[in-house]
Amino acid sequence: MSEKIRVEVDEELEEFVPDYLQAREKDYEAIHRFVKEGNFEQIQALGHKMKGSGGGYGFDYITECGKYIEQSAKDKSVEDIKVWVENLSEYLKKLEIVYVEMDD
Amino acid sequence: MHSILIADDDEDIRKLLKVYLKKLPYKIYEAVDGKEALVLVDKYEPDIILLDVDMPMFNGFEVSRTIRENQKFSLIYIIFVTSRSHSDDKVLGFNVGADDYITKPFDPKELKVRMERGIRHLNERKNANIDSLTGLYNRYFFNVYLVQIIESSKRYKQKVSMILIDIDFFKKVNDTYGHSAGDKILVEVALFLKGFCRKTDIACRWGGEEFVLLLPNTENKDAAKIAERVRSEIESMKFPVIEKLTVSLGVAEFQGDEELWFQNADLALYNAKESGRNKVIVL
Repeated sequence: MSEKIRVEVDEELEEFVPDYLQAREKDYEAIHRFVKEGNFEQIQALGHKMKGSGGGYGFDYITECGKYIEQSAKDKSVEDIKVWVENLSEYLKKLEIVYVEMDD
Repeated sequence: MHSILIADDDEDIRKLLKVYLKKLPYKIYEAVDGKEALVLVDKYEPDIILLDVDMPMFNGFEVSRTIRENQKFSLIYIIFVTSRSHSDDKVLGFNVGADDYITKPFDPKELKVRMERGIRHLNERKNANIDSLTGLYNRYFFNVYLVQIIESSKRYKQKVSMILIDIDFFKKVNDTYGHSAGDKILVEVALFLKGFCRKTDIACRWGGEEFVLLLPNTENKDAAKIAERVRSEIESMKFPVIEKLTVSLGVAEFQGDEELWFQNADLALYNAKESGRNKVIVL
């Protein structure tokens, strides 16, 4: 699948969004590392953070991925973690951000 | 300007909150864990706290509970901002002293209206507990705080003292220079007392030209020294309109009977007045 996913983001967040998304790419790598180490606690913590922050930056799907990653880590389900972390990675690759003025 | 403490271990959330709060005239402090949050609460006494739950050191529930244990921080408006959306967490949040509960990810519009609501509640609390002229705690707050201090002194077997302070010849000031001049002097004395207090003390306007200092963990002889410093520093201050001013002070230590404590402080103050004013009397 190569189609882009267009997301409108509050222009006031423009300064912070590149760093935010870069941090999620690092999360992707970290989660893979933690899976190898069997460190579910750290995976759960990263999922929890994604769940809390994604939607705030305009990326509801990151919140959704975070929610499932957190739950899968709680369940110690490596398979589900891998599914959702790949979903996250795919989403990040396809993202096309449009900064718009949001109503107060 | 209102002050806000953002306590969240996630830098992305702190950044996000600051973006949306910067439009409003708030002074913002940040804490990265529960321990730092408590340190900053003690240091700055923020008006509002936006408090995450899952944080290192102490979680948000523990932070809120600790804050609410101190009556001095009872005016702070606490809003949990957390990814925990289960009703059990919300119930626990309110049970440990939250005023509001927002789930992450939050909508900036919702954050804004809840902050505005928080400010309204905060102002109502301040109006009910703080003397509008001097900015000191009022008698109502004092009475509530007193209960906590007495309980604490009994539980931990600690001494607690009070100093009643009355401005000498204040009626003459009002009669000679008018009430506006009198008000300015009350404000100056209050500012001095506020700055003079140690972290654990509280200064209240008792009524009229009378003030009270409540000194936890302080026995009579130390309270007497503090009272003497208050007396001498006020005597050396320069005041608007009248230049010089003196105060009389009555000191008493809690001995197990609240009513007797007040009677002693009052009698000590009366004796200070009767024996020539500008004095400290200890009972």
